[in-house]
Amino acid sequence: MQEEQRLIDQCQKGVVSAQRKLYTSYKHLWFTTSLRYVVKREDALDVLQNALIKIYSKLNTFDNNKGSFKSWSTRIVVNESIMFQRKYWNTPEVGSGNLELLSETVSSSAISNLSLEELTKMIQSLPDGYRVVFNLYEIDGYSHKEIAEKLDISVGTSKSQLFKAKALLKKKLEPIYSDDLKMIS
Amino acid sequence: MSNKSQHKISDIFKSKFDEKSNQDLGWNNPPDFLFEEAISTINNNKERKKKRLIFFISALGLIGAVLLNQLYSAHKLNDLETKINHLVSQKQNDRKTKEIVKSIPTNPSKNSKKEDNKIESSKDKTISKAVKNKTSFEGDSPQLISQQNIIAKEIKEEGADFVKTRNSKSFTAPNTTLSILNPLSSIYGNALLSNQNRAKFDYFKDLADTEAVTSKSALKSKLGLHILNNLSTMKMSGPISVQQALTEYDKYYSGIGIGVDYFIPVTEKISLRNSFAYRRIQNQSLINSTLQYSKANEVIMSSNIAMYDMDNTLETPMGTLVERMQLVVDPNSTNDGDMLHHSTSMDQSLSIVNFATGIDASIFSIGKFNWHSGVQLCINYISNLENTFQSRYEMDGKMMGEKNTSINSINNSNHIFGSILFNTGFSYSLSDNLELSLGGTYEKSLNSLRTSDNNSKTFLVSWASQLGLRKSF
Repeated sequence: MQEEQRLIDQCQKGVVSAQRKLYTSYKHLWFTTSLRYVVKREDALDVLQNALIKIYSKLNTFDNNKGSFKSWSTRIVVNESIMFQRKYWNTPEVGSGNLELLSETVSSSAISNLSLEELTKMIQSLPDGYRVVFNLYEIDGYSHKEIAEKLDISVGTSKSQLFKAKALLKKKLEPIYSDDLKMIS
Repeated sequence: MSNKSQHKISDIFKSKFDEKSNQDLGWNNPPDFLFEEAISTINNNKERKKKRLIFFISALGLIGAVLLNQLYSAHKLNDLETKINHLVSQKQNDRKTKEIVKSIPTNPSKNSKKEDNKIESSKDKTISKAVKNKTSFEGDSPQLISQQNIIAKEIKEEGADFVKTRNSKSFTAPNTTLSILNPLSSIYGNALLSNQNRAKFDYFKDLADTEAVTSKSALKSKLGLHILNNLSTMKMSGPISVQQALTEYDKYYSGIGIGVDYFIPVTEKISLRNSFAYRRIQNQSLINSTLQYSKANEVIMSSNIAMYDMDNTLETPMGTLVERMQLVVDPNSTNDGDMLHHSTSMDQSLSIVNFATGIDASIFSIGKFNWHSGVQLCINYISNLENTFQSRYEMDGKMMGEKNTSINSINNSNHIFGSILFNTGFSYSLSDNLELSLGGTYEKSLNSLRTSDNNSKTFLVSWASQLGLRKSF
């Protein structure tokens, strides 16, 4: 952590070699994050470039007492991804139905064989609204209230889109690992 | 399958992404040019911000100068109005006193009254002549000559006081001279002016006209444009670094510039001088150091070829630069602790925007020549710093690598610094409102342009010659 802080200090002073090193350390995380939100690789690269400009321009405002650099920079990538996505996305209708009847659990043996690339593709295959809410809530740790404010939707919409996203993911898992998949209820 | 092996979908996704997102899996590896483009965009944005800032400050400076001039003019007009009012009321009081004296009843005989009128008429004519020619006439009665002398003396003293007061307060502006005289004319019109007063008035008018002509050029605002050629050097308070030897930086190197001056007259001889200039300053230096070779920086390419990848920090008079060096070495012939000799020839070019304010005094004039000197306090902003350098690395007398680099930014440098500027020179009047100026300046920075880790401070010293044109308005 001290080494990272030293690197960030150097970046804040404008040392290009330190900025390059920081990029090398975090580029995979940042790109994977943007690929979770943006489906096309070219678009994800655009998002990442805009995020990089913001990260290095605002590095002077980063305060390690308020959180880690990893979460600070990832938030910037997430925000950039959402900004990009909002230009195109189409919020799906909130469906009615017995949402509480569906189980959220699957067997671990099925999942353990899935690669990160397969999981990413699975997320990418979700409709825009579902994908963004699922990413924000389940992976990036935002609350429904924060998501509602960020996406300008109601908390109820956020919850229902998350549920639908999970249901869709489960459906997508079924044909691949039908033998292992087990519905609890 | 037991319940323990069941997991929430969300937990599975989250743990997998948390664990593996930052690993290089091939498909999630973005190209390096993204970084280069982002940094280049940031630098361009900074440049644009700098330009906007310079434009904003320049506009602010110009507006400030114009406002200052307006305030000064308003102040002068106020002074003038007060003076006029004072003179007018004084003269009105005089007239009232005379009317009161005249209204005192007397019983002069008809003859004596005629005689008085004759004398009065003759006296008026003579006084007028005397005032105009400042002489008496033969044949004037001793009483009349005495009266003439008293009046002439009175006029002379009052006129001298008038001019003295006006000089000391310096409120006489060419455009306002007539505004003094016009109200006086209207108040002391022919019908109201006695011959004595008319004589005084004529005398004042002559003095005011002469005064206006002599002070006409001295009290005009001037706008000037100049080009300059400077010889500058960097002075340092101590060795810049314990690891590096820095030489050649303290020689004088030439640069050019252009500037605008705005002179606001305060008195006949002293003006407020506001300047805005843009100039380029050059500096060259040599950096030598010895580095210890570290096998940890070697990237093995084949059994006898390795890439030695290192960042070398260069301490320059203007700040710190980091040079990335990649040397091709034979890993079998290098050892930890081997001496790697490095030398860099550095060219630095600073673009400086300078705002200066101070006073400019006219020392003396001969014919159309005027010698002036002044002092100004300046705020300098380094708008651009180009660093071009050539580095060379040697080991055991064998050249390992050479690299030319050009970087437009630098670390640990103060972009804003203050300075004091002394100037002196001659101006030559080409016409009533146009003059040619030629002068020299000496400038020294008041605070350091950078402070190294070794606590060595860099100061700028600059000599410059200026050639310009100034227009009065």
